[in-house]
Amino acid sequence: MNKRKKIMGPILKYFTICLCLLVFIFPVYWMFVSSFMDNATLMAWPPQFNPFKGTIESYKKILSMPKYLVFFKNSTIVSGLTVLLCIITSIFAGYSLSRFRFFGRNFFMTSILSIQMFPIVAILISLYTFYSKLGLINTYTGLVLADTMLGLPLSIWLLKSFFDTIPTSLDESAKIDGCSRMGTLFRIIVPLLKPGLVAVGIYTFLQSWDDYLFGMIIMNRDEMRTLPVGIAQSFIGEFAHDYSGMMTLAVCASLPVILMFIFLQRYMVAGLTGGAVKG
Amino acid sequence: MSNSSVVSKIDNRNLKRRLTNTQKDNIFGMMLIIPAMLILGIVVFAPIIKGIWMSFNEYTIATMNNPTWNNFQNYKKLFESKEIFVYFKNTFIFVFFAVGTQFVIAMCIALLLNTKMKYTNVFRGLFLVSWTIPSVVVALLWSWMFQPQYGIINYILNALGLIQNANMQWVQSMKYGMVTVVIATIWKQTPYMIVMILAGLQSISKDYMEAAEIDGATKWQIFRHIMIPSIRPVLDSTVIIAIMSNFQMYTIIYNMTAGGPVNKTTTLSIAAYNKAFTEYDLGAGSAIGVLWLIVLASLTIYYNKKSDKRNNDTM
Repeated sequence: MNKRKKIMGPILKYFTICLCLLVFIFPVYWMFVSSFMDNATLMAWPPQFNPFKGTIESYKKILSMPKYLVFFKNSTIVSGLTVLLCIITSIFAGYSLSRFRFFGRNFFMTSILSIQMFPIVAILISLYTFYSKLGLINTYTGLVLADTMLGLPLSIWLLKSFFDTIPTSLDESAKIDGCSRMGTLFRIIVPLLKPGLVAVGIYTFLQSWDDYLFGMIIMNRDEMRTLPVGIAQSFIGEFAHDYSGMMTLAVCASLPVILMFIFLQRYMVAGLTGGAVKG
Repeated sequence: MSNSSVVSKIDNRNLKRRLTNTQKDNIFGMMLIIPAMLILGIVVFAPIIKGIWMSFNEYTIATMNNPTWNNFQNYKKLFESKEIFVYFKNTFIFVFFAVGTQFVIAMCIALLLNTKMKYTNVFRGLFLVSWTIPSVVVALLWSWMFQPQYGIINYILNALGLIQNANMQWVQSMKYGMVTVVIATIWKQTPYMIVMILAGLQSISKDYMEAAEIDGATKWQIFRHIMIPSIRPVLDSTVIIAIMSNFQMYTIIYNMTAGGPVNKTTTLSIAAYNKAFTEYDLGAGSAIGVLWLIVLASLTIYYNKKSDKRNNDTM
């Protein structure tokens, strides 16, 4: 009895986990399978589950349409610049909040935390009026600034908690050795922060790659559009019943982030949980 | 006499230098915060303040250049037509089921992954894949899977004998529209919650559990009286972040149901967007935003008061 329990327990456990995993992974698998089928196969009964019996016609079709490459390029530029801007500003802000006790520090910390509460759509409405006056509609600058705001609060918070783990004695000895304040930050402290920077970078990249709302309103010309908006609009338009093409686009949009995630997973998990668990 | 005055002079000078040094440090600290403050000021705080002002004005695309005070008309209209209550109700339903369900699922999976087993990291990585999929793709993918004629979900449910009608309507049906949106959201967000809860569970010292086991505590008692209190801060912050971000949810809902059918899934963000950018009434859109902000802010204040009280009680 006891022995049977000992064997059955783990089997049951792995079985349950694999079952849960199946539910979570299946939609991704189905996306890949659908992208390799032509529409006639997709609409046949019963469904075809084997991707190797498919074709790559949809991929040829999508890749031959230059506008999707433009969307892809725009998304890459915007996400890349957002990551850069976000990392630089949050290094400064995180270091400052971790090391110095200046006037207004607490106010700034609470206002960062309260940002999550603000309705993004309401921000977008008035941002739109600002941007149309300043001529920032349809510019990378406009969208990069808006996307930065999505990632900045958590990035600052995460980097602050990473800075907190680096002892202040390092700053002090650098100072005694005659290093300037900026030198201390960039030559001594930042190199120790690599895991944190990678985590913040991936997080910000995912956020701005995912952004739909800002992209839709701020970029309204076809040549400036980002990938999520481009995909959503072609779903309403030319791909309305072309499910194969739609899933191909979906794969193309997800693949870069999935690949990045697979390679950098370790850093991301450490970064995301590090800040929260320590509190 | 002269000796002591020299000492105090040196002391004074030292004190002065030290003070100016920390002051310099603090000024440096303040300078470092300026870039972040500028960005957030331009893209968050200024828009919020302007939004509050806009909500009291006749502010449409046509009257954009000379908005006029309209005596709470934006708010009056929302309350008189009772639509605002529908939006709040939909939002609360969406947030409650999306966050509640993902919390339960994530807790169970995290507890399983936290037991002694091999490949925990591999499993965690595989679970996280759905979290990286962009929201637009999540919406399109689930719309395709819920497609009535050729969708895989109808096929599976029919093959398992769970539904009779093989062409069941999901996304566009009055009854299940909200369910499909919630399922897609859960699918995307649960992995994140699993990772957070799991990290919390792994940070609990094994000593407590062993001590409790030796004292003859049941599994449930360990869970209820050791695990939950230890990871309470993680749980609180994770759930609060999930609630806040699901109040914002726009992409998945809009791209699956577009708020329909008949406003069944029109949440606050969809409603505010539609008012501002399809009816071009930016003032009305902002008014929804302001009401939403008021509700969330009061919930936050209420929560903070309660958690302060709880912390004081336990201490």
